[in-house]
Amino acid sequence: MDKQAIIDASRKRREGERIFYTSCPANGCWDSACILKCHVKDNKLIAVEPDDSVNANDSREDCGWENIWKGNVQMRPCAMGHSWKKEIEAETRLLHPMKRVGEKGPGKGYFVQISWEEALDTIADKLKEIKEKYGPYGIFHSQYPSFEKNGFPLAPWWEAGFGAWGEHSTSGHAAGEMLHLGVNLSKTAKGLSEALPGFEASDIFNSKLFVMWGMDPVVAWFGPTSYYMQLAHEYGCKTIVIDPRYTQSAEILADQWIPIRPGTDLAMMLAVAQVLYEEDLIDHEFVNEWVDKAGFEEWRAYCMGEGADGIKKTPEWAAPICAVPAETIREFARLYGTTKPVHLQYFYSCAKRHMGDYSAAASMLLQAMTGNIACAGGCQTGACLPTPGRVPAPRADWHRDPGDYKVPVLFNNNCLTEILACQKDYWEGRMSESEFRHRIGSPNNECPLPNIQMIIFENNYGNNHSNVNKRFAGMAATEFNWGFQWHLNQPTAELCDIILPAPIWQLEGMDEYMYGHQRFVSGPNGMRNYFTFCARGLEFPGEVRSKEWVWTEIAKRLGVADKYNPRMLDVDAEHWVDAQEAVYKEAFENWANNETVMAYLGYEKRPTWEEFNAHPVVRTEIDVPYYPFKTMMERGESPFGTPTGKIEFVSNYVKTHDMTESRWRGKIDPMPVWSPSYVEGDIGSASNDGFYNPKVKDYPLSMVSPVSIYRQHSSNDNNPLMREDCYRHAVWISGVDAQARGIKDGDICRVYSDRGEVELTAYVTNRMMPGTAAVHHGAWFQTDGTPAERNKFGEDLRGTPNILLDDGHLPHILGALIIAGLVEVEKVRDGDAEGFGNEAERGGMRGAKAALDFRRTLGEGKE
Amino acid sequence: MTQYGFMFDMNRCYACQACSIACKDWHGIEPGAEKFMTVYEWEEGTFPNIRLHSLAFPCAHCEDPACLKVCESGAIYKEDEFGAVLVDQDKCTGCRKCYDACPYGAPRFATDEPTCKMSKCDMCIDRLAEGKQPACTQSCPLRAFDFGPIDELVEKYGDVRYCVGMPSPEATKPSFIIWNPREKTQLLPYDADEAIRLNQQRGDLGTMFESAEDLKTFDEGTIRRNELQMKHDSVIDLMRATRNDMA
Repeated sequence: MDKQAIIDASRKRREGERIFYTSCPANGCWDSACILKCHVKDNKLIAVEPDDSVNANDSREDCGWENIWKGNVQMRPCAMGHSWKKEIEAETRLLHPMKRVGEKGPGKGYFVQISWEEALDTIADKLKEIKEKYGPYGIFHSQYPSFEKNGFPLAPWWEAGFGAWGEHSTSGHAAGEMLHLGVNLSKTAKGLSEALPGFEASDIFNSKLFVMWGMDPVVAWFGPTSYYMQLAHEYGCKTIVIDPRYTQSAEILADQWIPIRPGTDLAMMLAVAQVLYEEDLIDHEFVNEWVDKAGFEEWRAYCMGEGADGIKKTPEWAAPICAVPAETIREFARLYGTTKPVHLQYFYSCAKRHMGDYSAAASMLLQAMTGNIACAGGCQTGACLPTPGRVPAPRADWHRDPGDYKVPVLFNNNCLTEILACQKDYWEGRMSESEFRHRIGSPNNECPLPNIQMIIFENNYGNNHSNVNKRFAGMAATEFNWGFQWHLNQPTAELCDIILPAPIWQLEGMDEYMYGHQRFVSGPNGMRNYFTFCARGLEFPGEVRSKEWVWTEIAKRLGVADKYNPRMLDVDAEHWVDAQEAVYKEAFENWANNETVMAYLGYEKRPTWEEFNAHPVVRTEIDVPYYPFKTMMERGESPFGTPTGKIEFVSNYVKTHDMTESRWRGKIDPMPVWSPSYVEGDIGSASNDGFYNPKVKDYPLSMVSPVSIYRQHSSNDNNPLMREDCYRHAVWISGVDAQARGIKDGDICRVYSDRGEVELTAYVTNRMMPGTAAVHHGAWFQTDGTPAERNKFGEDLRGTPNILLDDGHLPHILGALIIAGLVEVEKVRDGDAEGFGNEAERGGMRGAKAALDFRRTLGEGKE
Repeated sequence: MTQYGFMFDMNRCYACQACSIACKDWHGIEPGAEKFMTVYEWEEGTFPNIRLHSLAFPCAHCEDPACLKVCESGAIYKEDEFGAVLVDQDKCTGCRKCYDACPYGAPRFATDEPTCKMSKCDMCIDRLAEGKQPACTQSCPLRAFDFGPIDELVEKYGDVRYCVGMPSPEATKPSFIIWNPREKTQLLPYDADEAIRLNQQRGDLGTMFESAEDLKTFDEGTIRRNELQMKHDSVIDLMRATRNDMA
């Protein structure tokens, strides 16, 4: 074809296309809320273009500093954002309601197709039956019990289900944040507190030094914030990455990499504090105003060797623990203590390990003693994410009855696996009430206790937390589970008795996101200066239907539909999306008719619905970027809700309470210390995942499980445009460790721990510290039924790191979702001579095939 | 004709592959080796002195294209408005002489079958004709690309068209400007020998390795992605060189 023929062919391909915009935030990509321009034809997604709502046709987007500061930049999607069509059209897509034949659990049963009516009737009957038999706390909804909420949409009127305290993401930081800073994210999440600890992206330009401690933002924090970190680095903000791995962020965002042994961060932080104290590199003005003096002095004494243990926590003390030269630690402390402001961010993941609570707390204390915790260019280094919204968006009103069911909080959000493992023993009298309460993080001694006999899944919850073998076994043991799933081979489907085909909400139909996030989708924390209306997308494939229709149908069967969805009672499935769209349109009209809002947003004339759909991105400008606690600091109010109203280096709450009888249900020392008073030995040897734990004789590699850039948690793990096309899912191992084991890059290895095992390709690299390993989070458990010594449900061909991790807690404070563990890696066989074939069969669609073929051998598709 | 070209900033690329997938998405290309835009990632050095490099490379749409000169069926031509090097698949016989000739390995083949016809980056001329920029360059989350008339790019970004591991630009005059990785100035002293010594020890649990030499020498093939390799013997080789391990 000549040039014109190529152009003509392209035009022909695009003839008759409809364009709509959407955003595809997903929990697991920091809800990045990128903007997607979608081309659709014949109900197929043809292509996704990046945001063109500002600075169109400027690849480098040189829009000038002023615009960048104000947040007038594009929200370009990641590789996943451009790969949705393969997710939508996946061979494995679940397109019909299905019910399970046989027991739950991989290898124990299979699915047959059923009608919607049978599915809905069965679910409604089972809901009634379980509530009748086990009470309202026999039903658990997986999306999301965190922040004392509950995702069960019918709970307010049908009065069942329960919530949890804590959440997953910052669960390692929460203890430090609450006990030392008095910042309670549950309150901010409910709008009950203005102590928002986040920062807006352009506030990074105020920083003179950025310390990314365990933080790999280009991979783990996709979106505008990592882009702004890149710009800040170019702008002259000095950047240091402290991490066991030489990450892409270490390469492109940082001046220097300081490798540190996983789980030893606290030792280095204590040494930094020791230097700051000794050399008086303290922000006395800040400390005098905002820090509790007694605690400040007590931690000083501890760091300086004047405490009970008599050990001065010098850089020389920390160096052999962390494997960081003492001179480097000392000079780091000096640079940190003499530069201002410093954005030191201790990333979530580092604290999500045994006793990580202490290192998280120490990072906050460092930021406090240097006066960097609540200022422009600083960082709170706890949750450090929530920022105030800036754009008034429309809100659809479904006329929902508020209901008066108060969702009871029954457990810690990361203890579901534990509930399932021991509830039978408790209810059958083999476990004491006190023991059960302690194991599950029961918030007090009076609240009711759960007996979960129905799990409602709206995600891939089975696979996505630590100790998958234990988790699967517990989930398979309930009476009846059901849920919305997207793929036939999702591991969570194996734990369901009925699976319902779910829409990909971003691109199909008009359902809301989750947690009441409607389709007017706000920009992510750090960049909430815009919203995108996610317009009506594709028609549903197969028998997929709106989740809101499903819930309404179930609500009708339970007799609460008039309260749950009164405006949609008479709408049938065929007209459902039209009716949803009408409610969204009404919300738009009300918003557009508000002259104050229109004036604030700079509209010269009120847009029509059609104009709004054509340009559905509404931006305001960031005038002065938010920094941690800005709103309250500027009013002169203390954001620190501790007993003293100040930052407490030594927690007065801990000092005056028996923490084992608090909701935390465990011991903790009132300040971060290397040798907790209630365990034998130091943190390094005490914690199950520690680099110095005696267990390393059998499991010598300290493994971390970072999030991926090709999965949102576990979404997209099946996507053939990602897996094996962009990346291979592998176990990272250092050159020296691989050589000692006879492993070469591409070899097939068995990775095992005392909890489970997986088969994985080896990625051999010198980007790792010796003695460490990494497997990225979110890969699905997929088995072909081959027995595996350490796995209850067979060999895992695709490699979920969660199967290697323990979920247990030491006798210390509960709450963290454990994401690190000790493993060994051994070679199983060569990667085949060609490499690609063998590895590819283990992933992507062909990995799915192994799992689905296995179900066929059990009888699927034969009746 | 105005020769158009790319500017690529290695300091902004983290091999995320958004450009490569945006390209496949726009062109409707199936998963696999037909990567008009290829993203390479490779490491350099040994622990703890290590660097990581990324190169996102489509086709350089050379001013003096080697592929065009060797094509016996006249399937490859230089288009006259933007200077894009294009292939007419109706004429292509799948002989792969273009692949052998191109120092950058830019011609693509979906399979290793001898009948497979060549396909390649078309500079998104359909988009250029509408005044838009290519799908790849517009999709970069860190804005590592610029695109435009090569003279203007040279004026703005200089005229380096090479990074370590690439062939010399003299041969074909590629329309691809590169900002190479900047040298890093360490902010803090870091004694690598001392760090290795510390890494060797694990307290009572023994040593981690025998000598510092163990961190520096490896058997052939132990570490595979440790150099830029743009020419590949098979689809498998190409896939292996263009996938990363960030998931």
